[in-house]
Amino acid sequence: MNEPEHPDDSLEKEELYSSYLDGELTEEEAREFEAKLASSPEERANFQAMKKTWEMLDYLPKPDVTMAFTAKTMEKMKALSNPTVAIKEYSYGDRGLLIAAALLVLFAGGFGVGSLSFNDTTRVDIELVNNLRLYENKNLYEQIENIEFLKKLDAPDLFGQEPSGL
Amino acid sequence: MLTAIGQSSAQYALRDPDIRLMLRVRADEPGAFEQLVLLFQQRLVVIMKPMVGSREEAEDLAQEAFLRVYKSRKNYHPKAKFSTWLFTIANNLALNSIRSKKRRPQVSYLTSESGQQQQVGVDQRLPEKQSQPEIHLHNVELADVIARALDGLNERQRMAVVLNKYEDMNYADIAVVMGLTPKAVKSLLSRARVNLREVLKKYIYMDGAAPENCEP
Repeated sequence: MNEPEHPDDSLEKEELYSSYLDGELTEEEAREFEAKLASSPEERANFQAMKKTWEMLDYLPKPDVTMAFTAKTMEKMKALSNPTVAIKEYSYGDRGLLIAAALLVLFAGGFGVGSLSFNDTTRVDIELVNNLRLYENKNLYEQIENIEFLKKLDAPDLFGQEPSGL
Repeated sequence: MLTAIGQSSAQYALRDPDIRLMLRVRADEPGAFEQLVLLFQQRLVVIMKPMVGSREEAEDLAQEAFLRVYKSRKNYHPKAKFSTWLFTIANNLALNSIRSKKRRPQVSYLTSESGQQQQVGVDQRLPEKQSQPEIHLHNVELADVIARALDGLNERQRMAVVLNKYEDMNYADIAVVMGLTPKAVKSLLSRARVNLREVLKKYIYMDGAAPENCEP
C-alpha cells in the first residue's frame, strides 16, 4: 500500500512541472525530470494534464483593439500637451511681461484705428460743406436731363426778378 | 542621442528597439508616441482583458497606461526592457481597478464571444462541478468555460498567467513587473496551473486527443 504523499512533496512536484513547461529548468534539471517522467506513468499523466490545461488557454479569443483606440489615445495625449495648460506654468515675472506686452499691443492698435477714423471723418466733413447746395438739391437735379435747360431757367428775363421781400 | 542618456541606458537601448522608440518619445519627436501606441496597444489590451473582464474597460486601462507613459516621458531612463516598464504600469492600473471594484457590489463581468456582457455572481463564476459536459462542446462555449476558470484565479495568479502565456515572459521579468521574487512567481504560476487543472479537468481531452502515456 502506497503511503499518502506529503503536501510539500506534491507542491514541489507541481512546481517542477510548471518550471519545466516554462523552460525555467537548467539543462541538467530538465534531463533529470524527463527521466523521472519516463519511469512513472502516473507522473506522466499528471504532467500531461497540466500541459493540456495550459494549452487550453489558447482557446480564449484575443480581443482586437477597436478602430478608434489609437485616435482617442492621441487626442487625449494632445489634450495633455495643450498650450493653454502650459501657460499656467509661467512664473509671475513672465506673466507680468506677457500682460504688459498685451496692453502695449492693444494701446498701439487702438491709437492707429482711432487716428485713421479721425482723418477719414475730417475729410468727409470738408467735402460735405463745400458741396452742401449740391447735396441739398440732389433729388431735383437728378430730374433734369440737360444742363443748358437748367441755365436758361436761371436767366432773369424769363421770369423776371422777384422782389426779395416775398 | 545615446551619449546623452548614459552608458548603461545606452547599452539597454542598443539591445531593445522599444527603448530606442521610447527615447524618441522622450525627445518629443513627432509621430514617435503614435508609433509606440500602435506597437503596444493590442498587447496591452490582451493582457488587460482577462484582468478586468470587459474589452471596454481593458481599453480604458490600456489608454491610461499610455497616457502615464507620455506624462512621465521626460523622466524615463531605461533600466530594463521597455515592455517590462510598460507592463509594470499596466499591472498597477489593473490591480487598482480590481481593488476599487471589490469595494463595489461583488459581481464579475464576463464577456462572451459575441461581445455581449453578462453579470455573474461570485458563486456562479466557476462551472458546476457535478454537471456532465457535452461531448461536442462548441469552441465558443469552451472559451467561456476557460474564461470563467481564469476569472476564478486570484488577481496575482491571473496576472502571472497572462504575462507568461501571452507575453511569453520569463519568471525574472514577471517578477519585475509584479514586484515579486522569481521564486514567488514560480510558486504563483504553479498554483495557478493546479487550480486551472482542477476546474478544467473535465474538458481537457474534449478535443479528441487521448491522454498520452496514461495507463487504463
